[in-house]
Amino acid sequence: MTDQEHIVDGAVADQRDAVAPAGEPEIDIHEIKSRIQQAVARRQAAGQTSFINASARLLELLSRDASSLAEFPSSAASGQFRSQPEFIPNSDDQYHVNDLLQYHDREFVWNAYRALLKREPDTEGLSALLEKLRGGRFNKIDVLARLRFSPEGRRNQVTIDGLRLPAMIRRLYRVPVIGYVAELVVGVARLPSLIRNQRQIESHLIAQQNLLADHFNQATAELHESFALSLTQLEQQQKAMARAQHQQVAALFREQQKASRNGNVPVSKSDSRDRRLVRDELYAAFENQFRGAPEQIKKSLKIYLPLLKDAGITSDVLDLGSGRGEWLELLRDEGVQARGVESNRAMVGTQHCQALEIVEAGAIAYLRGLPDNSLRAVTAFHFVEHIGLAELIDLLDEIKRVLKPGGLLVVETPNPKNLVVGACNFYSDPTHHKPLFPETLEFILNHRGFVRTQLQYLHPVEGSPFQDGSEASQALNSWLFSARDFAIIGWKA
Amino acid sequence: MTRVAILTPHITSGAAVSSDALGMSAALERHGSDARVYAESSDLQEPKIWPLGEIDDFLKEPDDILIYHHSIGWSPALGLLQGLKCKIVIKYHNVTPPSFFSGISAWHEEKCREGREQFQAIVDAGCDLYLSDSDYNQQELLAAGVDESKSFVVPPFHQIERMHSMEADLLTLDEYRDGQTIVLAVSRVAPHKGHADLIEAFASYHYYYNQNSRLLIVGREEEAFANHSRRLREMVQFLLVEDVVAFTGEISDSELRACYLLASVFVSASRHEGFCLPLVEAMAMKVPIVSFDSAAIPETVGAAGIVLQDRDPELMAESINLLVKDEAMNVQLGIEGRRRYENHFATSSIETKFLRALGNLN
Repeated sequence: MTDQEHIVDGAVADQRDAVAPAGEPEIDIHEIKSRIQQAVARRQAAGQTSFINASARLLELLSRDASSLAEFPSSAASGQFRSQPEFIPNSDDQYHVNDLLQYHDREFVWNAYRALLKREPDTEGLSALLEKLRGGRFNKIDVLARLRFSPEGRRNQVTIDGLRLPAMIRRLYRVPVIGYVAELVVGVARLPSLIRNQRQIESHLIAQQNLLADHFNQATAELHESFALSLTQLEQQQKAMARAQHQQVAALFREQQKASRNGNVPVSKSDSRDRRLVRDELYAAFENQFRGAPEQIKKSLKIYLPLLKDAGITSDVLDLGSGRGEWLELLRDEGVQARGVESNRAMVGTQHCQALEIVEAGAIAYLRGLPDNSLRAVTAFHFVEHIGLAELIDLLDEIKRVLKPGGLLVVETPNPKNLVVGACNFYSDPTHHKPLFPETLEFILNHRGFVRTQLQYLHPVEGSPFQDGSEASQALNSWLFSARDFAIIGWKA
Repeated sequence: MTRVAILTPHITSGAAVSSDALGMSAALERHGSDARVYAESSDLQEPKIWPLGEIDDFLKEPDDILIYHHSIGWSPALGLLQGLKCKIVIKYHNVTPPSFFSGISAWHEEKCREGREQFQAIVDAGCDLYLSDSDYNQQELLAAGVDESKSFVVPPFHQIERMHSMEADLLTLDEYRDGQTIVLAVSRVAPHKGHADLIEAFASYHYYYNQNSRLLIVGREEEAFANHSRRLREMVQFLLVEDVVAFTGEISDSELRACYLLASVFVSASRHEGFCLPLVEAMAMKVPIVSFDSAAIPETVGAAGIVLQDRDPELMAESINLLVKDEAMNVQLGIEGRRRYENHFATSSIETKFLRALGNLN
């Protein structure tokens, strides 16, 4: 056993044994439990248990399946539009002719088949009979007689009261001479052409009505389908929104808890808010004096516009630490839809910035609240030198999460390879953390999963006195008059 | 010499039923019986596990004994119980209610349903003796119609002494000895073990009481419960404790010993236990227990911890807080646990109860 384990093992054992009283330990578990219950009641009354509890309930809700849709009433079963009553075949095969004559057109032929031949009509049979019926050559009695007295109909032996007599009369019409006389006699009496016309119109109307019913049923089915689909989509959207909102609240909760753990004064205390505002105002004033005129900044940022243009990015751009909003303004002028996030209240509050879409928040906290794959480009000009390594990693990971595949990241920061910048100018900003070495920053981007990264040196110092081209001059030039800033451009795969 | 065949579907290292079967065999050997363990499969090299087909050749005399461990549906069992002409003893470990697996694992749901059906058939078969891990299990047997004179409570044999004889794993000690309060849960990650409540309770403890704390969830994760495991991880993320909750998977005895040494509090949120061996491990390692009241848990824990009647994660969080903050109480409960272990659950004590129960066979 090594010393190390001995210590742990021994320490735990010693400590526990040392307190052991010689006799039976008297522990009143009931008393302990009532203490626990009281403590929880106190905390709940003070609202100190709500976040975790609410999160757990929310997750439970979000994990539920969209089962409610299964209960959505379906028109297929109950709500079909019918233009004629439903036909139910009799089990005893006994019908009266009127049972079938109440149907019209296709329904009539269909039901006649089911009653007399005990099957659904074949396509040919259906269309042949329908054609005769609609053309007025057959009336319904003819159809019934044709089916009932066909070989198949005879085999089925279905009884239809009231069919035989009219069928015989109809058959009589077809007997030469006598039939003609008979039909003439009957026809004169019943004005057959009028009747035929009327039959045609009736058949036509019913056919139209059936078409209408079909159309109506189909439209209802489609409507139901698309309604169910949009319900599902709506539910998914709601779930996604609830998740995103939870992420935002969770980020705030975590930061607040972290702050209270570190003994920081919570942000809700009014004097810390005042001090923060003083700090914000001071920094805003500092930027105005030292960062350079907005027009000049805008001009220097123009070099990034072709990058967006070539990638076809015209919306969903987020600028981190947007400051006075020069870049956002430039994008607005170009018709690119973009928003910024800036924690400095004094800057966000200016009239100038209020005309732009800038959210007052910490960049990482804000990113945490955004859904996956929701942005096309993220830019951060002179931002990363304000944060430490751990935060930088968190930041890059969040950016990678929220960028769409193929999304663009641009990071610009001072170039410490220019010794004047690295040793001197960098520290003019009291909120700067540490300079970042160009290749190191590129390495970190690659390491966090950004691809096709590109390092660009920008803004060389003009007016170098070392112009003779000698080796010494070149070295001095690169140390003192090289690029003041550099940018890394990377992409999400 | 009495021949005793101990029968269980499978021997799996670390599984409670397997430990009981092997422990029985060792105890009987120590007392001069010829004992063998029979199973369909085994993942152990040692000791030898005998194949089912040879059980008839071994048990020939009417005074020979078959001890069948019942905990899940297993079709060969009933045939053997009815076909053999020896004395038959049942060890009942309880069967997890199938509803816990509904919608998660159809196989487990079916096996547990079968297990419940076979339970009644085993009771109706009128065996010579019915042993159970706990009063809770015994009550089920009696309610199903077992004669009280044939029923005895014998806690399960275990391998806690073996864990005690091992050195704690150094890497584990190093990894977690960073001054954080360790809350420990040990059980396989299965739907009836209540891990979701545990995570919620710990998240609450972590954020509202002690942000210098972590939860170790020790135990095997099964492919059949992959969705359940995924949901637990989503919950861990959702409740913002992904940095301080570790799922260790199955670990070695020496790693387990290290975890018990590091732990300030042992927690269980299980919804169904016929006994719950990890509670006894915690007692043996003097770690006080916080658990919810369900099935056999209250009688196993006794006065070695806090058993909460209401399944309320906030109550569990507060209980953890109390046991972490009140060092004297922590130590007292730990000692009470160790005492309980020695009086009721040490191997020698279980062995005495087991042999005394078998003495009722004649």
